[in-house]
Amino acid sequence: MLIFLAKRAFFMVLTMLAVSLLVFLLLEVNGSAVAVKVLGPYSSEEQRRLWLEAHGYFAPWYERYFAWLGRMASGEFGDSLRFKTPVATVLWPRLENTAILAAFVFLIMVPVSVVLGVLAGMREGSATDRSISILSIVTTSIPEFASATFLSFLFVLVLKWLPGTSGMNQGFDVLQLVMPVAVLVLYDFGYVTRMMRASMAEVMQSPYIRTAVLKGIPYRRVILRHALRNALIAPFTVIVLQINWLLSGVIVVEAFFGYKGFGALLLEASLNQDIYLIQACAMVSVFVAVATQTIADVGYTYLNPRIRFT
Amino acid sequence: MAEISLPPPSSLGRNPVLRALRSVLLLRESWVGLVGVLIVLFWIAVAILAPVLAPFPPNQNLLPFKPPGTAAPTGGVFWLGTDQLGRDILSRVIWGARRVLIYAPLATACAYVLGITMGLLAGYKRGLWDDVLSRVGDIILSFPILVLYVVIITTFGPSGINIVLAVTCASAPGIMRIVRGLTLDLRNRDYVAAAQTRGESSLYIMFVEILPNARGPLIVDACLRLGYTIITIGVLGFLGLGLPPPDPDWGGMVNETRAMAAFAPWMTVFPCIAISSLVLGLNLLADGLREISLKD
Amino acid sequence: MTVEVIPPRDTATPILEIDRLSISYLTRAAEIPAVVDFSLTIRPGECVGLVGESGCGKSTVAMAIMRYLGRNGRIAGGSMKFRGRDMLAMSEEELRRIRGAEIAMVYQEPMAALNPAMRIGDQLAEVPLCHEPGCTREQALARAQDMLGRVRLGDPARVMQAYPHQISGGQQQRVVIAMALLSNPSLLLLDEPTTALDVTVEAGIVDLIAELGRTLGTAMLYISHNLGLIRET
Repeated sequence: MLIFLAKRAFFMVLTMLAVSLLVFLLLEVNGSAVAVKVLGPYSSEEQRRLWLEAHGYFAPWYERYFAWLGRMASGEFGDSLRFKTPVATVLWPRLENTAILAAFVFLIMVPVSVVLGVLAGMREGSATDRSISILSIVTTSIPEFASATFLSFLFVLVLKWLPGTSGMNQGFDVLQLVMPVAVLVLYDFGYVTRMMRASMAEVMQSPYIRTAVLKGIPYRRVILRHALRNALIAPFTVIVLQINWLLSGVIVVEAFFGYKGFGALLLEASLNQDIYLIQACAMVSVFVAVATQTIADVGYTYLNPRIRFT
Repeated sequence: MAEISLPPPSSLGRNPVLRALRSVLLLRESWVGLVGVLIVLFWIAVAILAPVLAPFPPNQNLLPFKPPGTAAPTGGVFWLGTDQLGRDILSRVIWGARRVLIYAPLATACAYVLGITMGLLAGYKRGLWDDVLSRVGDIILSFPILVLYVVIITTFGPSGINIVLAVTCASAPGIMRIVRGLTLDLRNRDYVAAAQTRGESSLYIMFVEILPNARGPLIVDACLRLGYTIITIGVLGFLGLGLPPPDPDWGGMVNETRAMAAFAPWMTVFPCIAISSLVLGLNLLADGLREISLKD
Repeated sequence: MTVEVIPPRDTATPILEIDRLSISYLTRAAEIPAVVDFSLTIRPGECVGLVGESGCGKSTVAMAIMRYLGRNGRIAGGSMKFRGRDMLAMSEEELRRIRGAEIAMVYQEPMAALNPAMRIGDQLAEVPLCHEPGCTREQALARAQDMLGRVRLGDPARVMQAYPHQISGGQQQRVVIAMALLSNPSLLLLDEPTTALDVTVEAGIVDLIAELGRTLGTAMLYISHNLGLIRET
């Protein structure tokens, strides 16, 4: 087990290095482009050359890469051009906000998808199954900005029940979280439900469920103690990987509702060509992505007795 | 010597166009697929007939902020209202369909060409090809996808070609994984062994023997992926990273009019309905196709 | 079909009385008959063998006895009585009480029949826990371990803690037999219990079944495609 963990950790580091190289090549390797972004398009050739020299841009690219990597790893992300403060002071609070949003989304989405998926899988081919499937298809067809538009139209304009933006300018307000969370849950639950349904349907067809029923075990117990225990293994991976998806999904939702989170930060950075902020955001995203994949893998191994106890 | 009687060749057998048409008729068996294909065909028709259908030029500034149903001064009606610059929403939605239905299939097709090639190579040749391609694919897939798009578009600038390239790079690894899995399964079939014995080249075997037999799951995936791509293009437009104005782009339309949606909601709602219905059509079609393939 | 009869301990009401049973499967095209006019009587303590070629409907009969024919299966005619009670008229709850406690089953593929995510001890203990309201968990586990000894499994304590994939095929089948006998059923259905096992392992299982039949006096229906095996049992 420990060897397995060590191997996964190693691959995680490897992937991060590979991606960091990619980010570096995309954004940093062209020194003069960076100079233009930092100093502005009206700077002169001389100014740029001086700046590049002062920041070590005339060294060979691999030297620059390792120096850059070292700075990234120690959290020294440089200064944000737009906010005029070190990137770190802007980045971490925003990440926290997105984490709060993500926590609420998970709290609602996971139970809903699991319940719906189990119900659909238990009664495969029935009306319940069909309607849950159609519901999943419809909700995953509506892009987040579209569902945000529809929900805003209904709840903010027509019914006036909820606030239109989620800037949280007067401190934390749960009502402002409702719509961003709703949009994210709506878009995401369909996929997880379908995965859960597929897993449950497969388990219900298996011989050991037949054994359990023919042992005379009450149906409720068959579902809860025999079927679920096996059916939840595969969807666990899917659920953990939704964290990865959420990191992308929040960009649209935060932009739409003005929620001051990581996604909105990345968007602002890219629209303003705030180069150091973009780099930092990209690296953080990749770290979260790779970490969640590792957790999903390790968790799956732990949950599946066939692999855990060989 | 025994007489071997072969079944008579099907009259439709050799003509691929007729076979495709026959497959479409199979959709009768799944009402979900039928609804889906009707929606998709509707939007394709709208896109093709855009010059004829649109009542007004999409970029012409006429009367700003008119609600749906208002009559235009020069005759005709603003059926869906006008936006903040006075442009007719209905015409912009119609022309936007053309935009989307050119770029999305193009991007998806490119992604497929790349993904199929990579998948066939990885699955059939295995060895170093498989190791390298799978690793590269894993690395790209480990990036949260929208972050990847934002970084690429920011670096290279928003334009039609860049969007197509970004979508291709981001989608190809997923397609590669599917094709690789199918190839690993199909390479053990007898007809592949027969072709190898005949001395056919790897290229021939991959594209003529293996690929056509993998078409079932790939067609379902293609419909789904086309839907994702349309959503992606819409999202990029919404974020301001899409195709540059003034040409109508559904996502861009929502972005431009969002600030004033409070008193002119029709400006944002109708493009959203458009994009949702098109993607819904594709997803229903994919589900219908999957249902039919399971019934076989 | 060949029948081998062991002297029963009490010839009162027959355990199982099947009279002209017909079972069919419903497909999209038509209703396909699988078993037609099947009749069988098993008295208490009797051991009956059911032999036939693959696909002749033997497993279907076993599933029909358990009333577990799936969505497309249907009993098209005839009658079936368990200890004089009409099985075809029983409710789900009555069937549930009979299954595992009065009629138990041993399956063809022991690995597939056991839940891969549950320890063997837990799977065994479920039988008395669900059928005997007064039984505590400790009592159930103790009985389970005791039964594992009776099916001649070495180191029952280790097997109780193990997961199914950690023991061999022959051991798994002994576990399945133990699970079936835990509530001392009147009737034991064995659906090709040795088909998936090696010949040497098979011999041990066959001996075990014969011995248990003698000591417990359980009536048995032994289904197989192997006529020679039935003759020896």
